[in-house]
Order: sequence, then C-alpha cells, then structure tokens
Amino acid sequence: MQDLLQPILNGILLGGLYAVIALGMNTMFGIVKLVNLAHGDLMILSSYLSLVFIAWLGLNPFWSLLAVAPVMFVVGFLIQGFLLNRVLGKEMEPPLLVAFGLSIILQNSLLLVFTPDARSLMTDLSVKTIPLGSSLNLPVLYFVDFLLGCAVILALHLFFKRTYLGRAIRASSDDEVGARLMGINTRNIYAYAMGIAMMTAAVAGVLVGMTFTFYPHTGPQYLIIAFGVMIIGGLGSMAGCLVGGIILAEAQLLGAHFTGPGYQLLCGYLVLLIVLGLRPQGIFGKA
Amino acid sequence: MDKKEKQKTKHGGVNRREFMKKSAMAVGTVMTSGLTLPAMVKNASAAKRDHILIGRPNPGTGPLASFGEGTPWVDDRALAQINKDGGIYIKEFGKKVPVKVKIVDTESNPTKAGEMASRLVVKDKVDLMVFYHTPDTVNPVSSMVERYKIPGISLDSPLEPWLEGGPYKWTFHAFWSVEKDIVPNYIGMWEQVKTNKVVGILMPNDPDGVAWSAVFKKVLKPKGYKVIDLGRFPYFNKDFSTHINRWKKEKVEILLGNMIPPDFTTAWRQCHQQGFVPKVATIGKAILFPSAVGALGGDLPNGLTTEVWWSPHHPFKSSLTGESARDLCDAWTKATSKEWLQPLGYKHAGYEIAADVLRRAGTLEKEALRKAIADTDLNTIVGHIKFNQENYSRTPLVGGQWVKGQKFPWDLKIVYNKEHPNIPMTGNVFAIK
Amino acid sequence: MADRPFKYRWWLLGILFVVLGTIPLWGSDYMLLFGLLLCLYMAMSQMWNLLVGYSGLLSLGQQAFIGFSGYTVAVLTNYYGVYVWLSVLIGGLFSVLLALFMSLFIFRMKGIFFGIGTWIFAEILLLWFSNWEYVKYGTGLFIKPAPPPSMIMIFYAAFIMALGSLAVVYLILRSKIGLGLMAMRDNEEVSETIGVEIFRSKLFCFLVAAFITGTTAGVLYVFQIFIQPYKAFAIDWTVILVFIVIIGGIGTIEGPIVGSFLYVLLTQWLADYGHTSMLILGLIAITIMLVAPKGIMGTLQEKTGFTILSPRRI
Repeated sequence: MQDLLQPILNGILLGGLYAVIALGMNTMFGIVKLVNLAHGDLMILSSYLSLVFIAWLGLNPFWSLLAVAPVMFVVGFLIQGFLLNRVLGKEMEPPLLVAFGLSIILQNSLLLVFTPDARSLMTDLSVKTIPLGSSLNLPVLYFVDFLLGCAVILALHLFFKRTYLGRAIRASSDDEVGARLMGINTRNIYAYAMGIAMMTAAVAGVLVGMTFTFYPHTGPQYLIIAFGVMIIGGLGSMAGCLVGGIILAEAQLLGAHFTGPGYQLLCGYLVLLIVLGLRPQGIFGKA
Repeated sequence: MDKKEKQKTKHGGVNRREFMKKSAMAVGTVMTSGLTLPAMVKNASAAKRDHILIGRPNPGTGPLASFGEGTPWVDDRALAQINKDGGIYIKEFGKKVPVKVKIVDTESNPTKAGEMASRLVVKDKVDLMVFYHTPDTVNPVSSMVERYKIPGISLDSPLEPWLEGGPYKWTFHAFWSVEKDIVPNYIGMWEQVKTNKVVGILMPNDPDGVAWSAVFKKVLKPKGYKVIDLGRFPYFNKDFSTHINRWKKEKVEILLGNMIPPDFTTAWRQCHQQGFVPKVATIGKAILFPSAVGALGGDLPNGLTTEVWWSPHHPFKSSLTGESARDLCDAWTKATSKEWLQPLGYKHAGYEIAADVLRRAGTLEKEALRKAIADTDLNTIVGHIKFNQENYSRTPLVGGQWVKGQKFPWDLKIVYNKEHPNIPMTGNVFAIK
Repeated sequence: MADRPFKYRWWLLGILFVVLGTIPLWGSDYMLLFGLLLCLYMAMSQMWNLLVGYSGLLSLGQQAFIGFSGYTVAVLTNYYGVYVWLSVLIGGLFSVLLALFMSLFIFRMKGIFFGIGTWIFAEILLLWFSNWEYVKYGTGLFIKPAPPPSMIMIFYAAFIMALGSLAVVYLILRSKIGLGLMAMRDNEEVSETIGVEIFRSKLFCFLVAAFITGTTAGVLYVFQIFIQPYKAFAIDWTVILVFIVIIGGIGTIEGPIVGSFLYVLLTQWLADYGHTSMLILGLIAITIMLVAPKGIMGTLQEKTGFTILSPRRI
C-alpha cells in the first residue's frame, strides 16, 4: 500500500497538467461543436514560441508566457476567423480535413525551422524535489503544473461567468440564432473564443515544455490525451477537465504500477474506451 | 428517360457531349503516346552514366539525427580524396571515373529507411549501398539490399540485432557485439566503483533494447548482480515514475540503459525530480553525443558512463587520407566549431572500405563487387576490417565517462580499456554524487 | 440536376486500367513501383470512401486493420512458412474478425465518437503489439516468404486489389444495400424508420472495408519486407486516406482514384524532401477545402454533371 502513494500523488499532479492541455479543445467543442484535431500541434507551437522568446529575450519560461499568450491569441483568432468559420456547417469532412491539414502544416513547418532535435524549456524547477516522509517525494515541477492548471481553469470559469465577452460566448453556444438576434456577431465571437482557447493552449504548451521534452511531432500524443480528458470528464465541461485529467493520469500511472510501464498508455486507453462505450458524454457532460 | 429524349433536351447537352468526346479522344491520344514514350525513355536510360553511384540512406532528421550529423561533411571530404586524380578505374568505362553519392534522409524511421533504399535501387540504380547508424537504419536497408541483390556495406549498429535479419549474402557489417564487447566494458567500469551490485534496467522495446536486455539478464546473474527489470517501454514515453519508484524501493545503485537520446533526457530528469540518483548510470546510444548530453541540462551529465567506439585518442589511421583519428576530429572542429562525434570515424571508414573494394574489383558487376567486399582486409581509421563467414567484422570498444570540459561544456574521457589496451585511457571512473 | 451517365465513362476507366495493368510490359522498374503504390492507395482509399462517403461511418482507425493484417502475414510467412498469397488472404480474413470484434464496442457510438473509438482501438493495438514478445516487441518483423515473390507478382496482386475494390464498391452501391445507404445519406431521419437494415448495411460495409483494407495491407507489407508497430498502426495512415479521399472528392467513386494519383505523384516527386511534400499536401488540403469543399471530382460533378461511374440507377 505504501508504494501506491507515490503513483497516486503523481497522478493527481499530472492530472492537473492534463486538464490544462484539454481545456482549450474542450471549451471550443462546447462552443462550436467542433473538435479541433490540430489542438496538440498548436500547443506544441506555443512550446516552440516560448523557446524562441527565451532565446531572444533571455527570459524564464514563466515570463515568456507574457509574450507567448498574446501571440497564440492572435493565432487562434485568425485560424478560427479565416479558416474554421468557413467550414462550419453540417458536413463533418471539411473541418476534419482542414484540421488535419493544419496539423500537418504545423508539424512540418516546425520540423523545417527548428530541426527534429528534442527541446525543452529549462528551469531549475525541473530537477527540484521535496521529500515528504521517507518514501514519498513531491516533484516540484508537477506541483507547479497542477497549481497553474487549477488557476487557469478557475480564471476561465470566472471569465465566462463575469465578463461580457464570456457571457456573449456562452450565449452564442447555447442558441446561435437567439444570440444573433441580441446583436452579437457570432462568427466574431467564435474567433474570440478560439483566441482564448489558444491562450490556455499557450499555458499548457509552456508547462509541457518545462516538464517533458518536445519535438515537432509530439502534438498528436497530447491530442489523444486531450480527447481522453474530454471524454472522461465530459464534453464542454471545465470541472470535467480537472476530474477527467486526474482520472486519466491515475489510470495510466496505477495501470503502469500493476502491469508494467510498457502498458501505461494502454491502461489509459482502456479506461477511455470503457467510458466511451458506457457514457459517451462523460462524467459531467450533458446527455 | 430513353436516349432519344436525352438528345433533345436543351441543357447544353450536345455541347457537353462534344466536349466530352473531344476530351476523351485527347486523353486516349495522350495515353497511347504515353505507351511509346516510356519505352523510349527506357532505351535512353540504358545508356550508361559516367560515374559510380553510391546510395547513402542517412538519419538526417528525427530522434537519431545526432548520428546523422557528420553527413555530408565527412562524405564530401572522403569523396574529394577518392576523386582527386579522376576517381577509380572501372573496366566497363575503360578509364577512371569519379564516385558520386546520393544521400537520402530516412527520418530515423525504419519503414522510411526501407522505402528510400528501395527507391535508390529501383530509381537511381545505385551500384553500391553504404549505410550506418543504429538498427533502425541498418536493419531495414540490409533487407532491401538482400532482396534486390545489391552489394552493401554497413557500420555503426550493434551486431546482435543485425544478425537477427540474416543470414546475409550481399551485405556486410562491421561493429561490436553486445555480448562480447559491451558486457565486459560495462561490467569493467562498474567494478571500479563500490556499489551494492543492484542493477536497474531501462530499455525501450526497439531492437537494441530487446537485444541488450536479453544479453545482460543472461550474464549479470552469474556474476553476482541483482537485476531489476520492469519490462520494455515505448518510444517517447513521458513518465518513468513507475520505474523510479521501484528502483528506489529496491535500492538500485547501478542504472543500465540503452535508448534514443530524447527518452533519456526525460528519464534522467525525472530521476532527479523524484529524488533518485544512482552511483553509476551507464547508458548506451543516448549519451554518445555532446548535443544529446547538453540537452540534459545543468549538471545532469556529470559522471554518466557510456561506450566509446571511436575518439581522437584511437591510434588508427585512414587508408584514404593518412589522417589519424585526432586529425579528423581537429578538422571537424575547425570546420564547424563543434566538438568531435563518434560517428565521424565510422562514416569515413565506410568510404575507405568502399574505395578499397571498388579499386580491387575494378568493375561495377554486382557479383564481383560482392566478392571484393568479402575479401576486404583493410586497416581503417576505426581499426582493422576483415569480414568473416557471416559477413561481419568486430571493431574495438572501450568505456567512457562524461566530465565537465574545458574547451567545450562536456568532455568524454576514456576510463576503461582493458579489452583494448592499445587505446589509451584519459581518466578514471568515479561515482555520481 | 440529374447526372448523365455517358458512354465514354467506360472508355476512360477502361483505358486507365489497361494502361495500369500493362505497366510490366512497357514501364521501367520505377514505373512499376509507382503503379504498385498507386494501386495500393487506390484500394485502401476506395474503402475509406465507402465508409465515410457512403455509409456515414467516420473511421479514423483503418490502420488497425493495416497493422493487424500486416503482422498476420509476417507471422504466417516467418514462423509457419505459409504460402505468401494465402497469408495475405488470411490477413484479410483476420481483419474481418477484428472488425467484428471492434463493432461490438464502437457501433453504439456515433459520428466523431465512432471515429475516436476506432482511433483508440488502433492505438491499443499499437501498444499491444509493441509489448508482445511473440512478435518481438517493437523491434518489428521481417517478412520473408519462401520463395520470395517477384516485383511483377506483387504488382499484380496490388492491381487485383485496386480493381477489386472498385468493383466491390460499384456492386454494393448498385445493390439493395447501396440503395438503403444512399437513402440514409440523403435523409437520415426518414431512413431511421428502417433502422435495423441500416445497421446491418453499415456493419456489412465496415466488414467489407476491413477485408479489402487488410488484404491490400498484406500485399503492401509483402512489398515492404519489414513491419514495425509504430508505423503500421500509426494515425498517419488515416491522415493519408483522409487527404486522398477528401481532396479527390468524397462520396464519388472517381474521387479516390484521382486523389491517390495526386498523392503518389506528390510524394514520389518530392521524396527527397519528405517534409516539404507533406507541407505542400497540407496546404493543398486547406486550399481545396476553402475553394472546392467537395473535392476535385465532387466539384467537377457539381459544375458539369460529369460522372464517370454513377451508382445511381438512372
């Protein structure tokens, strides 16, 4: 029982990171009912942008967020405004292909510009650890990821509840026609929403870049994680992100503990498949 | 609606049909002329080209890019030397012809490597295939070479995984063996440090990982070591906490691994994050290069041990340029301002062997080339090459350790050479603190 | 506007297949390679089109069948010395069994969730195979049939698959099942009233697609000699099929043919610049989606009423 404590602790902390990764994609799904298959790659783009800012301005990764977040906002706004809004409709293939296309373009552009070398955002926190008792360690970086993840979720929640833009976005997603009748330019709103989603992706990207190594093609791995969190926690639900993230992380780590590290991802997927089959809308999702 | 009615409708039907008729005829003409064109092209390309073409699949991008880094610098230099006075005499041309090389990027992907090799044979019609760098490149290309019956020379990939794809007739390989070379070097280094002899294995499920773990588990137990093995992990694994927890529980003091560089960066950092720092960490493949080691960050590389298959200190000379190992490394540093890399010598040696083979054969006839390779008996910049009955030649191996460097951030010192005392030691093994 | 099936359709397609089928007679070795790849992609993309374009089954997991069948061929030829083309057929049959198994879980899901379900299945297979000692973990297996088939034999196997896939799709669509599917495509609500038949039709298409995709993959791996779980079960396959079919024109029979040709041409032309070719592919995809969302053949059909193969019974 003793040695389960460490995986359980790691799982909770990792779950926070997973939650932030999924947040943007989940929110956009709730608003435009579109799954953005390029989400993972956009997140990795943020990691690379952070790398650039760190090299250029000599910043600490956390400060680089001040530069990366606005850039990603613009990126998201443009992508939704000029690309995705054009293919929103009843057919599901155009958005699929556009998202795949975007994903391919991002991956290969990053490859050509940054080379396939493994990168990471270095900070002293990466190797710090706080011992808790004789057999437990608190990896500081995971802890920071968790705290920041919760903070972002809370911030987003408050945004949607308190600000005009937030309420406009919610209105547009609940009833598009009604919102337009109220004078809201829904297409514009979607673009703003995507911009905000990309800002959360920026945070996720920087955190991921600090915690793990990344290269141009690591995007899809995180896409699958985001899916997992979304499906387990509930589509379009922010609280669901946190719960889903923790459940997915725990499934992976405890699964690895019992069946061996090679099966770590497999355990996560099995849980995902089960939830997909039994309750596809997830824990907090609406049926 | 029958045909007659259709003809009478006025949706521009007649025009459309005319258009279709004409385009169908156009397509037909193109297709039939297409039938004759390739035949002509086929005959034209039967005319010979005026050089020898070597195919070079290389991992230029992807996780193995550090292996591919010396290309094309080493290749161009070697070729310049070979072509210095016109090239090599080939009887089909009746004169000396230059050697050209076509380098293609395998993207560190075994499937892509096989595809690129296929193209080199079928489209570019290479005379000879020269390839290196880990089983992920060497194994699939070896198979393609055997299938198309083209002579092949490969280096820089451990023997056991290569032999799995055998037996080979057309392709020849030179490198060291896990069981006969890695094991004595690694264990030799471990014996220099006081430990509790508990070894933790960290290896992925690729050809190296599977071969190495099998060999080590076999030989370690009789030598009194306790082995903790949690099974193979997949490439790009992000979380090693399960491994680390177990190692802490079992009080592992020796970490034995072999994986691609990015995975070790993740693993080693997590070890520190979670408070696990063994006394010895000997890792194959992942920390061979200064760039991979630098990516670890901070002081993490200090004291890591690995295998050394070539260095500036190796006492060998090139049969092509007469340079010593040290000369080649210095030339590299002068040209690129970067620290020396182990693959440099092996890339160069590949061309030494190829040039020697072409000179002795004097022909591009495939069977003659194959035989010439089989008869190789050459002193190269990586040691003596002589292929045995199973088409391989073993090259020397010593043990090394990374320490803080003077000119460059990290230096690789040779700390164990009992298997090959002719390669000098430049440091002593110490435990990681 | 009613389509006008016109008699030249048979000519065009006939010429195409005659040209393709006689490559060993007039083409170089490289043309043979090109034709081989073309046939393989045509077969697999035709099946994806059947699923997504006609049956409304968004499969993002065809790679499950590709890898599963490939490994079946590898294991049978390597470990048991089974005759190579028999192994390929068995690979196809095993894919059908896999599809049957998968359907138990994922046929309760709809739309994008069905897609994700298939994708997850493929990922699970990837992990399973890369951890399985029997298939040598992630090191991959060599496919060494004895006697080794010649390139021409492999080419004709692929050619048969391409022809076969086209025939199968054409026959299905002109059959009762096809009518039902077209009805469903045109009006989902009405067709829900004949629910059970739709379910069976979809399942039938899913199984057929699994069989043909699996068999084609078997031929592919006989050609490639080497199979490895990370590439065999990778989402990359789905990305390629998505590109080929949607750019070519989804829901049209000629679409996958045009799309495959474009894809193989592009990747071969820029083979030495792998990343650039993918980049261009991505740009083409996005451009086409903005400019001609029904794909090349789809837009052509719309504008000119030009259908080579019309499955409609007019």
